[in-house]
Order: sequence, then structure tokens, then C-alpha cells
Amino acid sequence: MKITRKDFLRLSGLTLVAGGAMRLAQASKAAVQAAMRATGARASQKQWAMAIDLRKCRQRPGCDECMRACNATHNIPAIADERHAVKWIWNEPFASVFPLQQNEYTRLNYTGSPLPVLCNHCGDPPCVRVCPTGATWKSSEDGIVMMDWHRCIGCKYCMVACPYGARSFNFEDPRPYLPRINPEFPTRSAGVVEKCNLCEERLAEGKLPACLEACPEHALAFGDLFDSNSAVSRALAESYSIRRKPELGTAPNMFYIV
Amino acid sequence: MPANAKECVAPAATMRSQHMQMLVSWREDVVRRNDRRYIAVDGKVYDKSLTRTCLGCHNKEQFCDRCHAYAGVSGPDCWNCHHAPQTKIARSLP
Repeated sequence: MKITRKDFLRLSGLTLVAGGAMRLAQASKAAVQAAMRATGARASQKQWAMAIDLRKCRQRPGCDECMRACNATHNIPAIADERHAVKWIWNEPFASVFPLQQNEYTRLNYTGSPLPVLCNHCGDPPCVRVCPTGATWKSSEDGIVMMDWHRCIGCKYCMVACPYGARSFNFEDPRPYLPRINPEFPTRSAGVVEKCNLCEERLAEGKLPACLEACPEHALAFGDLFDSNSAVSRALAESYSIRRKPELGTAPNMFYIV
Repeated sequence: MPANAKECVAPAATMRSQHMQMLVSWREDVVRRNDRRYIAVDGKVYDKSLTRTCLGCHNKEQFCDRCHAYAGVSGPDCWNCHHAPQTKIARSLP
């Protein structure tokens, strides 16, 4: 088919208009998302969240039951080299968890007592925004910040983006560093990033997260934040709680009762 | 067909030609859609799991590896992370 000069000009004009319309549609979608964030609209139907009662944690100096349960459940390697360590839930000093909240008394109260930190499963997760392959996303069903290790290319953008240091990279094959292997859960391979999945695989079976089950002080309350009757909502309604770096606007879903 | 099973999740011919597509779609369903139940043509319900369902009957060395080696299709890297119940994994810790 021969194309005339007139047809060619008409076609290019149409293409330009279509391109402009698409650009406009994208811009308005971004504007709607920004407005949703600003008004605190929900990013998911449910939002699993946890309230960690540090008053109970303080009852047991040196306790690491939650971390050990998580490590065993999810095949987390025990790598001594801090630069290569893989962490899903771990202890962090008060001063680095709540840098602006520390004072003489927090130093007194929290030295030597456990302060578990984990992925905050943010309402607006920066790690998700930077992932170039869609290997990490926020579940629209239950609000968990999920990972697909099959799709992770190990670029580590998400590790840079996460303000909580909740993501770890597998610099080497983790299997030689596993004290024992839980056959119910896969291991990871060298070259992928990993983090807490809020026991998504256990929730699917109707179980509670492993860290919560292991806690001897029942310091962890779990549930749907959008349900005012859930354990976490009730715990938060009763006590004063703080979150990590709320000023960043990531809307963390791990609450600390201090 | 392994000795301890009478039937697979789909007829053998389908499995032979389509198992790779099935595994990929199972993976997407479980990881991305939280959909873990596979309903076979005969109405039987299976868990969409490589380790629990497939390897519950099949043996990795005698089934997967043998055919993959024969056909020259090396390299599905499932086993870097997923467990084959019959296979011992090398570990340096006690």
C-alpha cells in the first residue's frame, strides 16, 4: 500500500495526540495516588500490623525467642560476618531505633533489654517504588510487602530505599550457614534480597506469625489494623505507641508500646 | 508414574509437554495471588507446591534430573532454593 504525504501527516498527528493523552492519563493516575497518600486512604483491603509491647520485652533481658523462631521457620543463615548477615527480625539498640526519642532514662531502661525490629510493611513502601522488576510489591489484599525471589535481580535498590535497614542481600549461598533446614520453607540463593514476609505462608494456613507464637511474654499483638476489634487495634487503643521514623511518611505498620 | 501414586495432577502427556508452564503459573498464583489450591480436571484438589505435591511422589534424581539430562535441558534452578525431600543438602554447621 502506498502512503500519501497527506496520510502520513494525518497519521503522525494522530500518534502525537494519542501519546499526549497517555501522558495525561499517567499524570492523573499519579495525582490520584498522591492524593490517596495525603488523605491516608487505604492501600489494601486489610492491613496486617503488629504492636510490640516493649514493657513486656524489658521483663526478659537478653531474650531472643522471637528471632530464633523466625530464623528456624524461614531458613535464615547464621552468618558471623556482619556485612553478609541476613536478618528478618533482630535486636537493635534504642538509640538507633528511635534516635530522636532517646534520653538518659531510655538509656537506663533499654540497655541490655531486647528491642526487636523487623520490616514495617509500610503503608507507602519506598522499597516497592524503586524495584525495577516488580519483585517486591504491596499486597492489595492484606497489605503485606511481599517479595518474589524468582524475580529479584539483586540490584539492591530496595535496600538503599528502605529507611529501616529491613532488607538483606545474599552475598553467598546461604545453605552452608543453616544450622538446620525447615523443609516447609525454601531457602534463598546467592544474589537475591530478602526480608520479613510477616509469615505470609503461615497466615495462609490460618496460623499466627512465628515470632508472636514464640514470645514467652506475649509481647506481640497481631491483626488487621482496619478492624477495630482485632488484637492489634485493641492493644493500640489501650496504650501509647510510637513508630519508627514516622516523619518520612512511609506509614509503618509496626507499632511499639513503650 | 512413581510406585506410590496412581495418578498425577494432569494426564502424563499433558505433564510431559506442559509441566514448565504449569509450574510457572503455580508459582505466580501462590506468590502473587495467594491462590494455593489446584483443582484437577477430575475435581481433586492439590496444594500448588513443588516440594509437597510434585516431590511428594516423584524423586528429583530419578525423575526430573534423568529426563532433563537426557533431553539436554540443564539448568532449571528450582533446587537452589526449593527442597527435594529425598536429597541431602550440604551444610557446614552441625
